[in-house]
Amino acid sequence: MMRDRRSPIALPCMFLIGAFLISAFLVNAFAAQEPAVPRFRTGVAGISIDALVTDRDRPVPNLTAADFELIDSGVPQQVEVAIVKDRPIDVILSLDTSPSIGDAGLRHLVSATDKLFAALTPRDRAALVTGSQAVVIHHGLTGDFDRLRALTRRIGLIGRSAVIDAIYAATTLQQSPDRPAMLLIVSDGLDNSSWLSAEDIVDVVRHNALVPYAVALLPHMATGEAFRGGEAAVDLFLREFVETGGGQVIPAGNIAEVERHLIAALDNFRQRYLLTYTPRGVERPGWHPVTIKVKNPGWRVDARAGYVVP
Amino acid sequence: MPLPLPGLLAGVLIVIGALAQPGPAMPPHVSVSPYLEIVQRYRSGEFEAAIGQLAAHPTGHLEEQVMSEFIALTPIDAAPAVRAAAILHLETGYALMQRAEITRGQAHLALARGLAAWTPGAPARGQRDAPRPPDRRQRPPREVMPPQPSPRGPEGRVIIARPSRPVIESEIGPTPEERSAGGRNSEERRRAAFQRDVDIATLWAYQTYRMTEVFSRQLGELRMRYPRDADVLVALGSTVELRALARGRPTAARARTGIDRNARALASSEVLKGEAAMHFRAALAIDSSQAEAGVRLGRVLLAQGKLKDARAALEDALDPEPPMALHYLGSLFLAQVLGAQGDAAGELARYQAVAARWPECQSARVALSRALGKRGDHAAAARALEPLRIEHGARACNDPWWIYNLGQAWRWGPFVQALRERVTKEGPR
Repeated sequence: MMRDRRSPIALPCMFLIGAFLISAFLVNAFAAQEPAVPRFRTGVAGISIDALVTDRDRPVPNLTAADFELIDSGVPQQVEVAIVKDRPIDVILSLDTSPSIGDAGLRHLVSATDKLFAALTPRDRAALVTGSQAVVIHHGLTGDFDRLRALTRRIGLIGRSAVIDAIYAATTLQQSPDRPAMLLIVSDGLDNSSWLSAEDIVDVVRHNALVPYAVALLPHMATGEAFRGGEAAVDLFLREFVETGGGQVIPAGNIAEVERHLIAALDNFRQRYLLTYTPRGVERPGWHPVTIKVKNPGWRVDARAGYVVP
Repeated sequence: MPLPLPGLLAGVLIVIGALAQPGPAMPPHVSVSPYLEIVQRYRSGEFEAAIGQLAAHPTGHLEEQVMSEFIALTPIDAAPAVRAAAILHLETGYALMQRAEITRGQAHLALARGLAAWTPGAPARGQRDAPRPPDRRQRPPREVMPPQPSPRGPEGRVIIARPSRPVIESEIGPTPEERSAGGRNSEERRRAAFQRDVDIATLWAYQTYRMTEVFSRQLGELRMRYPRDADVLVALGSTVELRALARGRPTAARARTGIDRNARALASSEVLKGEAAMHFRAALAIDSSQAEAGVRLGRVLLAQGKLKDARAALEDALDPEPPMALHYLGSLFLAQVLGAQGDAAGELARYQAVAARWPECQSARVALSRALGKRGDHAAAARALEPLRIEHGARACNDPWWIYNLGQAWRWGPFVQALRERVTKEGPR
């Protein structure tokens, strides 16, 4: 019988292997629950920086490493180039749910997020944060989009507005620097309840590999109403924040346009190039300014201004 | 001091709709009119019901009509009822403003002030029993309702005896005669204190709902009337503080470029910070136990970069331990001061202590997370935000930071509770 042919150490070995597998499962399970550890992929594995190349606002496809010139702290680097659309992505949604959005606006917002989740692939993941005065992390990164859809239906408009704190909370949800991740913000830019300042959040995006996109609801951004009555000047902050992270601000004239803009932002992100390199000649901690150029001077490059080595 | 008559007469609305509506079952000994039934209901401790009933009435009513209800009572019955009505209107006004019915709310608040300033049946100051020439501020109320029949209480006690005319106190300070007689009597002092409390509470309501114009007007009036009142100075200081810190809030563009695009605004902000600090110091000089003045002073000094003074002000404000909202905010500001002084460990420890004591308060969690993130512990920074996964309504903390910029809004609840207790305890019913 099979059983009889086993060596005397077979059972302990099987036990050990089983214990190992269970431990490994538990470690992985807990690792999955461990809060996000955002950062750049650095060191031996190199640095990855997202860049969007456009020609008159249209993404330029099919570029190779030979088309790029990347300068890290004044030193040219050898890069490898991939495109985001070939990889699974993470989308972290930060939705403004302050009363200034309005009930009709909220309905548009929920409908728009439905369409966004439908546009993601099964390999992708998404997370959901909302911010009125209360910031709520509804769910961390997950591939269960039905769950996220259900959560969006529980969103209500309440109180004042803490856009900055909501964005900050969203940045902490990034889990792996190896997966391209976008932070997708929908906000009218009014903030009157955040604990953190504009400087805080811009500093956070400097240290973080997330690429921020903001669907900015006008007219607040256009009229500067945010300055009135002591409100924080987040309209300026939002633009600054997004540009520092190498993303884009997409102005929306009204809330009904949000659906179209969310999908456009997702498509735009997928058209980005991932430039990966191992820094040479610049091994030092601190801020590393990065400049990315393309051979065609008529094309525009949107990328973060640099990264931080701890 | 003039009664806020413009507001009162503009308070042309509201109120007692219940006049035309049958009220709920009431203790039989109280009822004289539907309006007074509501007041009595409030005095009996049915606060929310009375507020709801008064707020629900959609149509308006003149201040004079309200007063005529009380004129029909004997002064001894009217005085406590008027005081209760003042708090009832105060709360109703606040409740309406909370529902964004600003105009109606404002009218109730104005009426609350008018009632608090009114002594039913008392002679006009300096006139003994002589009738006063009617003027806009102190005329007897115009009769707009037909005289009510005299109801009787359950014991047959007549509670509507004779009409009296209101006397509106125009100043809180003693008159020359009172001064020569050694000051005001205790009833007058009591009335003056009550009026002052209602004045302050309405000020806070305007501040809470950002009714800048009416707030500024009333603040100016109260500064004149109560020049040495610490609460008035704190209200003034916090208004200036808000303006100062909003203007001084540097934009990200300024931080990145190092270019100050709005130097004039910043200079103005510095002046305002100094002014705010002056008001808070003045409040503390009058009442050294005014912890809110200390907490706000500490924050302004932090914004001015006077870190040593800021730390001292906050440590003073936190000892002895102030009410929760001030303890919470003062501790967070103190952590910021420690961070600005380069004491990162002290800053983090302070945030951790606050987050441990109030684990579901958002601003402490965000502050702690950010401090951890700055130290490079990003996993801990993310973990610090775990309580933000709890739905807002289920959290055991309504963050005091959210109303910090609304002045003394945080004091409204306990203050009104104390006023409720005062008016429900006193007087015949």
